[in-house]
Amino acid sequence: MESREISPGQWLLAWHAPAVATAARAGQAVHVRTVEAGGLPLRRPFAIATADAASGTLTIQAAGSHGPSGSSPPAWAAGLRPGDRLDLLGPVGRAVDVDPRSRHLLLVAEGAAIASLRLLVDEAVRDGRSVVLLYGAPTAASVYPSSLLPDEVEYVVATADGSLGHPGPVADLVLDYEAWADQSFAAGPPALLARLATLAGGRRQRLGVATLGRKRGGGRPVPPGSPEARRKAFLQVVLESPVGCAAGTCLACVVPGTSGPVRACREGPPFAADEIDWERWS
Amino acid sequence: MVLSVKAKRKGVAANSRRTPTVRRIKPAITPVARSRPPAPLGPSTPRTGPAAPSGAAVSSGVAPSLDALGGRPVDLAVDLGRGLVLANPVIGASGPFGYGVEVADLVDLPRLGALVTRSTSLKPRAGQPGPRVVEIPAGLLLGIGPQNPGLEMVLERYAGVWARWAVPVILSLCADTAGELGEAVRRLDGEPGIAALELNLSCGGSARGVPGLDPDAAAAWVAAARRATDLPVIAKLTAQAADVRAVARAVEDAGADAVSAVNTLPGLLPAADRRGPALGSAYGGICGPALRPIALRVVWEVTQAVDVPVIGIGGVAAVGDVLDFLAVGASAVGVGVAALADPMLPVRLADELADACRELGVAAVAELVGTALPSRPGPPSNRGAEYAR
Repeated sequence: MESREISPGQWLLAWHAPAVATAARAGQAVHVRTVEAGGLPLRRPFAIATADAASGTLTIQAAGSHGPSGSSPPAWAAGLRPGDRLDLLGPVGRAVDVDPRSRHLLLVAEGAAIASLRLLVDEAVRDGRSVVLLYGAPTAASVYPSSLLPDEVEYVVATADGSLGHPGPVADLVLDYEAWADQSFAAGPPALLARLATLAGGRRQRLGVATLGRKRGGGRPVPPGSPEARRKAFLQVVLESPVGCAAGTCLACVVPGTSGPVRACREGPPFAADEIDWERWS
Repeated sequence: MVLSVKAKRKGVAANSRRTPTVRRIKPAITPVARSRPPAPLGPSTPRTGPAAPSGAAVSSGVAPSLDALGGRPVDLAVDLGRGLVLANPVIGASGPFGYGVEVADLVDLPRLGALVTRSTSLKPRAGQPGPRVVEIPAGLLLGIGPQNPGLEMVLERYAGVWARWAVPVILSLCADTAGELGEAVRRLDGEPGIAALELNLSCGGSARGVPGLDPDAAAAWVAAARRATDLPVIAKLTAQAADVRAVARAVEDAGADAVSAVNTLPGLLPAADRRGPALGSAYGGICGPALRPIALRVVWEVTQAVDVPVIGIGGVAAVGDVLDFLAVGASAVGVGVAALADPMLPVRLADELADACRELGVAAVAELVGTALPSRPGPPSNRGAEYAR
């Protein structure tokens, strides 16, 4: 196990977990039994940031503490030493559905949620797809370091205080790329995802083109939530919801869907933007 | 009917493979570190029978130590009445295991004493808005609501699977009225795979509150179920009742074959910004170790008031907790919220309970039941807890 700080308060933790690292795909998570004072009863879900099948290593991103007196990794991980064992379940959930025909992927992330899309960057580059990653952060100091991304990725940054890249919200940048992209994936706070979903809903009308390869009214109808429906939707979002059991039984991670409640741990964490009832989910 | 229930389950067990459903479910989760390899003895032959292994060893001339065979056999079987006999007293409580099918690839279900399903209503229910779970010191505050797809859908999807399982499946039922409960129970007539019913008396009811608060209402609900079925009926009590012994006696008189205690207790936490409650449902159910002393108190009181078996539920997280519940009179013990973080826990507890019995030198788990109870019934807790004499 290894841990290092990649931006103020954000820590990258690496573990040797060959079974999970081999099976992991973009969008999935691990459910970690963190050992915390007070013996809190639930595991903690973390998106799988990277997974290297060859070395059996997987990494996650977790919030530690950062202050004038120095910074420290998450309290539950601070006491762990290389060689210590950690109880984790995974991979949890479904992976994102990338259409094999998609050449250009537009990824949008804000803050620590970039961990949910990090593995997709690796997979897309490996498969020879072009990737644009739009990233939003409050200040230049908290931007995800570009040195951790593959060189092939076009990395565009927006900061709320204008200290680096585009001044303003990251969603402003989406319109510049929506015509170029075949599919789009997003992770971040609900407000950002809701705005992106609205943008994605108006995309077809703005561009005056049909999305990927499906003729108007042609073909069989696809059930919502199926891989076909998700591939067909322009935008997929990776949701962060408080997961209890990760087996689909506790119903703690349920989010309101347009056709009834859906579980982030089993039907998600990635969803097509039109599967989520954005008005009721905050 | 008593015999047929028992015989049916035995028949299933004799012919079943060890975990009959595992291959059917597409594994979505791979446990990274299994706590231990599968036990040498299958679920259909739990370590409850006569000392067959040692006899076989003697006849072959080689005498492996008892430890190599899993130790001296301990009788873990529990009879909950009306033909419901569990192979061991550790039950998966309602909630954390859903309908069992979801966790069949994760948990060695046949090694559980029984499995209680998520509470199910006649009609589908959407449950509460989020957030639905908050952690509290030593527990959870749950505001999930009885989200379920409705009884029809549950039977259609799962009853056939349950019928093939060796583990007895206890269907938890909730309703708005006693009439609706009776209708739901009648719907179960002839359905395979259901070993018993657990009635959730902390749901629905009248303006005066949930039926579990009032002996008359609780009796009416149990009677409605009793009239509609020959299956064993377990009434789940709430610690909210002013006199839980009166409720327990009422449900026993109304025909309950066993009682389980306790359900969650209502609690509340403000949101992080203190501008409203933390849960979408405002009130939540307190569960986990925080609830355990309350559950132990209720089991203590109820076992002294009724003759039917009692299932103790509330914050069980270690084998010591199981022994505590047995000591205050529980015949079986349900594992709830602790199984969310550690799904394999109940199976492990059953093994550890057998080990504990060996250490204590008892041959049957029944010998541990009620050891802490007073020789004469004490005063009820509603006479004042710390101030009663």
